[in-house]
Amino acid sequence: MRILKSAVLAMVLALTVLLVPDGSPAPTAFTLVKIDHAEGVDVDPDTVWILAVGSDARMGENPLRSRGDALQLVGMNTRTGAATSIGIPRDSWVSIPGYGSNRVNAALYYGGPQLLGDTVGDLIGIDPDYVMVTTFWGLRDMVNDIGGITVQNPRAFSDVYLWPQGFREGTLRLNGHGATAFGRIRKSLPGGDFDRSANQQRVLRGIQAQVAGRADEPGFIEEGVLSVLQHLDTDLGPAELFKLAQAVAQVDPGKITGCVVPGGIGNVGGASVVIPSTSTARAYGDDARDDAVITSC
Amino acid sequence: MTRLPRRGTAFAAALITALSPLAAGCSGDDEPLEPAAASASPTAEPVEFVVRSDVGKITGRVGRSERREVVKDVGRVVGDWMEASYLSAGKQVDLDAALARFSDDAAAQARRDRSLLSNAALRGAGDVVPRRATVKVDVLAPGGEVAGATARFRIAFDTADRKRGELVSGRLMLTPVKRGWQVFGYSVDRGAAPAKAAGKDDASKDDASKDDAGKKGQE
Repeated sequence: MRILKSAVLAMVLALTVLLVPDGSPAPTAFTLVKIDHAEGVDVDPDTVWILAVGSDARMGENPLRSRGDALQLVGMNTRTGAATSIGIPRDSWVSIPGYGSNRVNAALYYGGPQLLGDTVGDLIGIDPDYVMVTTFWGLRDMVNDIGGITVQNPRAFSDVYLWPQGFREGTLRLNGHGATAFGRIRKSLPGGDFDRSANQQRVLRGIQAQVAGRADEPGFIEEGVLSVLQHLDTDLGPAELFKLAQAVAQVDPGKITGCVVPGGIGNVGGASVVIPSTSTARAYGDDARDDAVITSC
Repeated sequence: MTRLPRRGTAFAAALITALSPLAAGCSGDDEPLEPAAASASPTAEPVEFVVRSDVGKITGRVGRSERREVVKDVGRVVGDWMEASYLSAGKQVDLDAALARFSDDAAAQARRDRSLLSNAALRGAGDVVPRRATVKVDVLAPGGEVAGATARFRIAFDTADRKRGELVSGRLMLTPVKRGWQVFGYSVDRGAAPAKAAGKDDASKDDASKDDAGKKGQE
């Protein structure tokens, strides 16, 4: 149970009373009440894992058989309100069941969401309960549908093609196009693929905060589910999506953690790849599997 | 529809589902509600417990009759919960009955939050007298198939030992199951209700004051 305290408000009101000049009309009455709050949502299992995938499909291509360029394994503990995200750099060189070794993003191309889920499951040690695939335009439209998002940007960066005006450091308000660019840009980031993955987590946080902030608006969650059905490729039924959306809305922002699987830069067949630290990936998975909390990155 | 309380409370209870606005299609959230039929003080004679159910926002396509059916059924689930949770206090509250339409996990969580989701934690409160209860039902129906609903509710009541009344509001989240509707989640706020005007219950004042309190609580 979360208690919403009104101490600051009381202080402000008290100061207001003190500062009202004698000649001013005194307020006839005001009400100061403490509101207790409780929330809960039942999603099976209690800690649900969703592999959120940003496909690089262009218009006209099948997003389920393209490359998965944004990969975030997201866990939500519906009992505690905790959530975490484990980012996997797109170029991570991993074993893909039945296809040898390749970049992790190729798993979607080879075998669709199931194979990508299996591949990430092998790397992290957590098999996702759901795989949700979106496209660039799907993410853009969804962010627009929820009214834009706010992200905390730790450093300024830009991209001459995707966002030439640049993202400044600090708190940013982004529309769908901006949010998509924020999660796509890699070359100008000092940490390259790793920093991009961290930025994708910032976009996810922004989406969660926006959903949570508007959840009590009439029909907001319902419209969000409809937007998801329109913009994401998912085989979930609307009722199941509805439950998940309500669970997303109840995540406690103070209990969100997130890490990106670290690694080194390698070269395979002349191509630059990321050699992920599989031990760290497993450690993140072991840490977060049951409670959706990563103690430290 | 009129129904008597299940337990020996000091008042008669009635659940009235008002469906007339449904004929107008998707109603706006700001649509004013008619004053509730219930009006009482802690020392008054037995009064009715009236739950007014209205359609909220419809997402998707739902026929008029099905919409009416959803609001009636969801309103009944919420009304049952309200009646069992808030029209008695302390040990008189039957949590099993109150949470009968909650999923197992949601019921378990609700038990932990019983001080907000019921009057079970109110000791020595005496009789409970309801002032007003409303439910607005937002419906999710993609492709014409009803898949979920959010019941935005508000209930105000007085306890015999308290000068101020209590106001509980929030959302219950439901999905259709084989036997009607099941609550799988909730978000509930509870605080003091504004004092009633002398001798009468001003429903519109309840609404305005709660809005104010809610904003303050989020600051």
